Amino acid sequence: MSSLTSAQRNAVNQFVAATGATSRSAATYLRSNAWNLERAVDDYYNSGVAAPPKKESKALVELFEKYKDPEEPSTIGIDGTINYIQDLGVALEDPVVLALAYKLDAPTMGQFPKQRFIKGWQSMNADTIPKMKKSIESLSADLENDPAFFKEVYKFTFGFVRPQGQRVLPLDSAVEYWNLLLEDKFPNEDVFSKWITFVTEEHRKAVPKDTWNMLLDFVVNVLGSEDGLESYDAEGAWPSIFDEFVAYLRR
Amino acid sequence: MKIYTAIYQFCTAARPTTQVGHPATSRGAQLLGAELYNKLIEYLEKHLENIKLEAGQFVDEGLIKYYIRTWNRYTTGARYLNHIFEYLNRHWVKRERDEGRRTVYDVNTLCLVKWRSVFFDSIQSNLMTAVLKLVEKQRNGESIENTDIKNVVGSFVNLGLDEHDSRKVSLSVYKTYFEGPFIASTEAYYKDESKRFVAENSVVDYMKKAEVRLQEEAGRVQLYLHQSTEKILMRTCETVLIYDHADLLRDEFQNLLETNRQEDLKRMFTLLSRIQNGLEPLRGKFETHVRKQGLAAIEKLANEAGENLDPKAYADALLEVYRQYAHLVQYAFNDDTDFVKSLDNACREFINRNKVCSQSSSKSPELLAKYSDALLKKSGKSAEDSDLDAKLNDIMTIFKYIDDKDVFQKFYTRMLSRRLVHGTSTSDDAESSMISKLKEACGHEYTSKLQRMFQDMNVSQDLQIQFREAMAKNLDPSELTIDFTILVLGTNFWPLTPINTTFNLPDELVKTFERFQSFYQSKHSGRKLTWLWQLSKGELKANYPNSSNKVGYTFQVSTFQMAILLPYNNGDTYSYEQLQQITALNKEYLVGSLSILVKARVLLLEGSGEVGDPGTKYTLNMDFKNKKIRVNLNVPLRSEQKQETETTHKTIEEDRKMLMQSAIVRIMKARKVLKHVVLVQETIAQIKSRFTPKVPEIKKCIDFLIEKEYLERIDGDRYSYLA
Repeated sequence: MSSLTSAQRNAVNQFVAATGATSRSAATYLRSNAWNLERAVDDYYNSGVAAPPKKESKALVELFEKYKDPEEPSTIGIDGTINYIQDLGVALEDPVVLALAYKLDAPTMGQFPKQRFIKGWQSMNADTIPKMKKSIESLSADLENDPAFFKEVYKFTFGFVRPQGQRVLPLDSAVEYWNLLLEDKFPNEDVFSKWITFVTEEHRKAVPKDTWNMLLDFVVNVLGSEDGLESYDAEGAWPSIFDEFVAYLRR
Repeated sequence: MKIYTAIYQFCTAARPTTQVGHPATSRGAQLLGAELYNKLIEYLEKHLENIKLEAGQFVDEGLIKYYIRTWNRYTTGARYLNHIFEYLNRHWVKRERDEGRRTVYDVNTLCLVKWRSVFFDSIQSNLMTAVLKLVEKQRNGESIENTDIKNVVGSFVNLGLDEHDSRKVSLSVYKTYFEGPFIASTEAYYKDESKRFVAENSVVDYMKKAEVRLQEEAGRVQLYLHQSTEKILMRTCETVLIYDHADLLRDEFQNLLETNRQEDLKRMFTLLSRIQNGLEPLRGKFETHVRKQGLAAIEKLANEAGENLDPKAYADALLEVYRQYAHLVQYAFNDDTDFVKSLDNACREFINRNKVCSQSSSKSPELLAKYSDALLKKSGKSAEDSDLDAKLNDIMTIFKYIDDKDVFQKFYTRMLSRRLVHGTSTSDDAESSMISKLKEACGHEYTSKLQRMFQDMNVSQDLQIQFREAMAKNLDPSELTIDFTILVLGTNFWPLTPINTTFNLPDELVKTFERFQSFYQSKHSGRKLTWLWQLSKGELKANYPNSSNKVGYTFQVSTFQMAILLPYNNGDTYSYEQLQQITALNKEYLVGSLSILVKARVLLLEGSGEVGDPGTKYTLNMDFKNKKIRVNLNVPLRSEQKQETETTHKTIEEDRKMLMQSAIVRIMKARKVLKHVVLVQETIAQIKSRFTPKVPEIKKCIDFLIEKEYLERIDGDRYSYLA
């Protein structure tokens, strides 16, 4: 992905918006069609990988129409998202919103492309607001009880909230989402606030993806383990920020 | 012969008329042979009984003498008998034995068997007591008849008969009746002796004693024992004399090291090397001792010298410790590979982690590089060629132990470039000799830049000649009044960087500058020339009208100083601001260059104030005086030197990061997917020859490469390579 020109990147985004495919496969189809968008999309549907969304649920389409961005009708924009989330009866800063974004494969905040929106809800068998509310409830429960699902959502969050065109997450938004997602995963509030102090006052660098991903492992497998900090192995594959944090904690 | 015939007739005469194939035939001959054989046995037994009786009256040496005497007679007789009974041997005995009767022997053997069963078995214990007494006498320093014992041994060996094959010698009798008691008495003797000796004498004396004793025992084997005894005898002695006292010996080791008793250390080494694992504990002690000595030597030096540590003194101190113990290892420890390894470990420790290096381990390579610079730089007291080469070899000796070889390389390159640019190198031969030494130690890659620098120098010289010829052809000699030399060097190979100041070249030089610039561009269009003014220099001829010195002075100056001085052809006084405007130099360089001129009183600072203060004025000193006609004003600025060291260290850090990153990428490119631990190990292995990378630094490089998407984490502790 990193090696794409901006024109190519643009084409990928359009492809994704049109088909609801992942950007990785979008790039693959585009590349094999010499970056011709139309032919690539044809190719995509003809390949049979993704059955074209034939039996789009009418109810879902109508629901989508209700929230879509008037200026860009193939997607739900910021305003639509806010309204939609409110209609679902969920607070915007509830972690379940991230789980939902993950389920609907939203590329970035405040955007639900039509295809993905419909595909996502179809797979959850919900096409009305009440049904969706039910789904949201079970997503909430999954987040709470299913560590694997939580990990998926956590990892997804990095790409979801990262500013476009950047490799790293600005420190303040990283802290914001850690507050939202990870605070109660830490063994106690004290360690969590130490982590936040450490990254904001000592380390003071934007957060790369690897650090983001490994933090959850660190919290669960080191801090949450029986021996706690003692079980940390600096010879292990931890990114060096954790070496420094452990040293900071021991100080 | 008569007797032989008689026996023949006895055995054959009685043979009944031949009935071939009838069993009775052979039985008849058998009976007759047996009769003869039994008679012989009877006779031998009687004879031996007499001997036994006679032997009863002898003890000790007398017994030995008697035994040998009778043994010799008896065996001679036995040989005769064997000849006489040859017919019996060949037929009757052979047949009996072929039929499996193992108790029938040929006559010679029979004699020996009888000797053993009738006489020897009863006498041997008394005999051995006598022999052992004799040996003990000898051990106590008395002289004895070695041949007596040798003969006894010979008899014991000969009595060792192989029941199955009389021609084979078996050592069983010797082993059981002689060697066994002999070893036991030896063990007891030395156990007792060494215990008493150790109690009364020093360890050093004991080692001498043990050494002598071991030699004596080895000699004893040659004198009168059977060769096969050597192994067990030596092992017994080693156990009693060395192994049982090994701890005592080892306890003395530290003492001997400290007093540098090489002879005794050699003795201890030789003794302990004879027993298994005898040296093991010494190696650790040796390593610790050498390390401590090295550290102490450097600490002493560092305390005496303080900040201004002389690179030569430092190198000499390291070398002295190294030499002392390298010699010891060679002389006393026989270049034992494990001791060599211990020495190497110790040297690596005290060379890389001593007091001087306490702040950074790169201090050692830095000082070593400075020492090589001092050796290779022209100076008043240049060393003789052979001497110089020996000193360069000394440097290589230390270099071998340096961890941060990259630091040495950096400093060496920098200083070599200075020697080449300023033409201060002692000799090209010495330079290239040193480079080939480094190449040998670290490989081609390590020295490729250095070699490129020499190439550049040569290419540049050719260019210089071409330029001169071109100018001579195209220009009138009157236009070529300025002598001009230039070095054109490749940016990538030289640790030279332009400085951050503007500079107006003096008008007098501009023409030459432009001529060369266009000459060069016509030869190599597209190449960019960066002029390193801070490295250029020149000579100015100064004529003072009212000076008694008719010849005038020649000032050796930097180009900056030249730019400051040349305006004084047109005026006597300039203010700081004016000079700044003329030269366009920034404050640091202008003040630096000016200060030297003021200090040398070429220029006079008007009024009070410091050089470089706004409004200060500088007047040409018309009464300048100096003892020398050539005055060197081009001395390096202090701040420049210090800064150079700092930037060198900084570039080292950056180079290391690059080195580690490229090693990681190389490894991952080859291996595609790798565990973290393995990647770290392989990275260290690849880089070790240059410097010892720290794991946290490697991790940072991995972090960086993940972030830049060269690598990807595929699960908790594995990475994969992203093309």
